[in-house]
Amino acid sequence: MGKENDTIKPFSGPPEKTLDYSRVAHLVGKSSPFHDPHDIVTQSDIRHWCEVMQDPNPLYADEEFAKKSKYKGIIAPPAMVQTWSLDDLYYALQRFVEGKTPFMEDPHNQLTGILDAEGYTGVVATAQEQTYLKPIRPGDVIRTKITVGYVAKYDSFTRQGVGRYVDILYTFVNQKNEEVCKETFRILKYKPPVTTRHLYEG
Amino acid sequence: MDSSQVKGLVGKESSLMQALDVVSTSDIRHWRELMEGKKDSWNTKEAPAPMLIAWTMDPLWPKRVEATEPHQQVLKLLEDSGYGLPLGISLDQEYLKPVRLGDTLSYKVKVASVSSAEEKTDMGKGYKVVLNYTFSNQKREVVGRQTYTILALQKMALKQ
Repeated sequence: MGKENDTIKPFSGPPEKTLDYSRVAHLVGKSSPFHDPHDIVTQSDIRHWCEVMQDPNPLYADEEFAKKSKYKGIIAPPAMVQTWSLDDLYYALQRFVEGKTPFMEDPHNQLTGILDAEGYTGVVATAQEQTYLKPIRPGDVIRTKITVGYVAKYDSFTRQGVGRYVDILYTFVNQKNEEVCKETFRILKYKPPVTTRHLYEG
Repeated sequence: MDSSQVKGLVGKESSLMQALDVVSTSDIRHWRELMEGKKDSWNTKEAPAPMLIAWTMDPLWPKRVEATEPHQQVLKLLEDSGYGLPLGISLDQEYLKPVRLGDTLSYKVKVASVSSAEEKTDMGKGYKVVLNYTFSNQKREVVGRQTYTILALQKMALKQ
């Protein structure tokens, strides 16, 4: 964090230093490699999800019922797609406790690094949209590719602070390389105002 | 407390109850990751022995409404008499056969003993209930045994 950021005045005062889009333009449209999951899709994980979501849909649990449906067998709840590709505990702790990010060479992580260095250290998820293309079934191996879809060319002035909207695109494929889901995750990377910045800097 | 009802349940064994999940790679890996730490790969062919109790846990939902098995009835009777705060005080497990990927466990619970009178402990007044669990796999082989001692405390014990 540079000193100049201590005097953020988004609606008055002299214009502050802002991100030059050309610094991140080369990352837009770039994808990470497909990352392998830690676990295959299992019936027990599906049941655990249904248990906490209190979802009694027999398509997720009842083999006989599911066989007669158009899916011809048990499927996983589509909204579980992201759980199959979650970080393992070690990486999750590194990310949230130690502030370290695995796969730093991935474009979206490079982008985050540049934005953080420019003072856009805050992050808030603003929209998540998933399109389900094929059913996911027990035994499937779901791999994930993450693409930088869009970075706003200019700052947005929001109640959270001055920030940039960023679209991160997720592509989920199964072991047959069939796309099972596409996801757009829109985040706001923003400069925390002085009043809340201490929350981020500890 | 009218202890004759409780005494009648001592020595009674539950019916054979099925585990809700088949032993799966993901559940074994989750356990191993927590207990063994970061590794490049985990042995998911054989379940860690202490997971016995994990496979046979009650679900969070749907909630069980009726106490049908003897051990459930004992705890229900104690709860209705004001001893509604169960506290696990000891758990002994004995492992007889390995639990492997794909196994489906089932188990029985026997009420081994209940205190004949109210006991005074540092945690408050309550009754000790000793439950004997027998776990078996789909081939009806006994894979493990467990003795679980519960201290059913008066709810007011928490406030003191």
